[in-house]
Amino acid sequence: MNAITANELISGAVVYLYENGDFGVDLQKAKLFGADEQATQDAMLEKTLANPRLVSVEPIAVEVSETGTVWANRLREQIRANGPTVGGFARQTLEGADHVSL
Amino acid sequence: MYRYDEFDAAFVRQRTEQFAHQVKRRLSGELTEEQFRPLRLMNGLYLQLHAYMLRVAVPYGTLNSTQMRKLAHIARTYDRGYGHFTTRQNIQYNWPKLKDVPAILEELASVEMHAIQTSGNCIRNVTTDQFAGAAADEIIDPRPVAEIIRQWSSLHPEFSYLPRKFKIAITGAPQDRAAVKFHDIGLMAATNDAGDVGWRVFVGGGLGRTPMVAKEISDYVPHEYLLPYLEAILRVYNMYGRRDNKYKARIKILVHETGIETIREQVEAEFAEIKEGVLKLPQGELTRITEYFAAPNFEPQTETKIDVAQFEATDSAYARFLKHNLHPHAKDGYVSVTISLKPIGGVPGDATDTQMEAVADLAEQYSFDELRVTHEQNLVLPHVAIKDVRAVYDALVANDLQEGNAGLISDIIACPGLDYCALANARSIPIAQAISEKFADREEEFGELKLKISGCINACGHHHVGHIGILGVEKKGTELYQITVGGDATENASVGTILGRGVVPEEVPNALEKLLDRYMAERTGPEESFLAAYRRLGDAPFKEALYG
Repeated sequence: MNAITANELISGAVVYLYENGDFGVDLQKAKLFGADEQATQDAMLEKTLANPRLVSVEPIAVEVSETGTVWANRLREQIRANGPTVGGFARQTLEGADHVSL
Repeated sequence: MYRYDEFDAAFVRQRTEQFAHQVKRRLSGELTEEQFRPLRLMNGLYLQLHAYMLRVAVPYGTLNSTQMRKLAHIARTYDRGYGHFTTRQNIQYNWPKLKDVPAILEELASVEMHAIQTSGNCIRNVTTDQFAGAAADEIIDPRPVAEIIRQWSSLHPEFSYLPRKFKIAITGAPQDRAAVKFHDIGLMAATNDAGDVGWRVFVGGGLGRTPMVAKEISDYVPHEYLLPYLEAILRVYNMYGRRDNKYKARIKILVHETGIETIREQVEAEFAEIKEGVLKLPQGELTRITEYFAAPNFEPQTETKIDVAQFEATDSAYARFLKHNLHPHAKDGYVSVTISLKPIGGVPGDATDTQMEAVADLAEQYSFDELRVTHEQNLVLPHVAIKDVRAVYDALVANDLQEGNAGLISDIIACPGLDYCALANARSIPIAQAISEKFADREEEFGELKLKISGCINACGHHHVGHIGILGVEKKGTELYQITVGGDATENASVGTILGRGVVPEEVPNALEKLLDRYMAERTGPEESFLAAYRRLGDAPFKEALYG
């Protein structure tokens, strides 16, 4: 499965496309695209790329555990989703809102 | 130290205003990311994994207390209360927001600092010996020439779009503490037959995916001709350097593929054309710049030695600090003090805002208002009277900066790695932390040992030149760490040899323990360093220790 991720322009924060079309920081709320939803994913990707508030837009591979937790496959994406593994720093927050609308 | 003249001040102010306008246009949607990206990179602003990263230039690693306090203020006001000092003697902030960057640059400009040319395919910040202007073994203070190179290379119209980035390092001492042979151009002070001091010039060194030791292109260039000579090298590189493949675009590849003899001929031909032109440096200008770097007004000192032994039984931490963190000074009664940014289990190179302010206070009170950033990610108080060392140490203790480990295994260079960097394949910082914790009680017995860790083949952590180097790679979604031995960034430069297959993160400290136990068993005595033992023994015993 895939999710769509980006960095938000003002803060640089890592964001994900949600089911409702907004972008927010929580991977657990991400809209997931199955292998049979490639056309939908491509359409959303194109729409996202056109949004000037979002940069470094890309699809990422994810898995869903038996308990429903969404996991990014690559360590890089796990670190983007959870913050640095050292230093105890929380992830970057969005500036002035909890989501970015498409 | 150098102070901006009217030209410098106006130039930085204009650039700051220009970038503020560009940010405004980006935020309003007038500029696309594609249009904005090269503009932000020209001003040191990257987009990393979690946030933007702003890289601020510290020219040749020299700061005063006002500048350090400003860096602390920026960390506290616009970031998360800390900064990361880098192998380029710069500082990086890991969490700034785009909307705040113009204000940050304005703050920097107010103390004669900026982030220009800390990214992009241009000539980057010139780096030098952290003990420049202080070291007992120095032939000449390289900072005036470094400053002249800074002025020449800033927004040089011909060299703003080079095939690839370009790094210059300079040292005025025979003992190379600036890794000059691993730079695109390396300069080492040299004396000619008449006793005049000039520069040996090396070209084509570098790390990254193709590590190379620079080759000597000239054994002596006088001061007055240095800029035309550098210009000639850059012109040859700009003309013939590859632009079709970014992995083959550095000058090291050009030198390697063309041959140093041909490159020398091309440079000499270009040099002959321009040597008597506008870049020929008048003595008056050299003198004018040199005056900015005049030695402080050292007072005669009665205390000229410290008896380390007397503290070994009563205050072993202080004794360790004295043994490892002091460097001989050219002036009797003074030393240079290394402030380690490598606490056991800490993040190499990080300093909090309060630590930066404490260091600024120490510089002001005890080191003629001078500070240095080292390429090994530490700080230096270059001119401390020996009678003041204890007071400096006590202040460092109060700010958790007292680690007496300069040059030991826990004095690790580590890139930010996959915890922050968009290019990295593996984490560096947790590996550094685990190693420093593992060997905290043994590092004294190992003696001098340069350990360097990179989270990808770009080698920002200089792993190729670590006595022991560690390179993180990703294989089938798993982090693995390749271990190299025998690297050396000094005048006896060498690139480390990979010992074999990578190990998983949890096994890295144990793997190092095997290597170090073998070293301890094989060395001729405490005076034989790890590197010396490796050079005597070769890699066979270390391979065997690691892989059986």
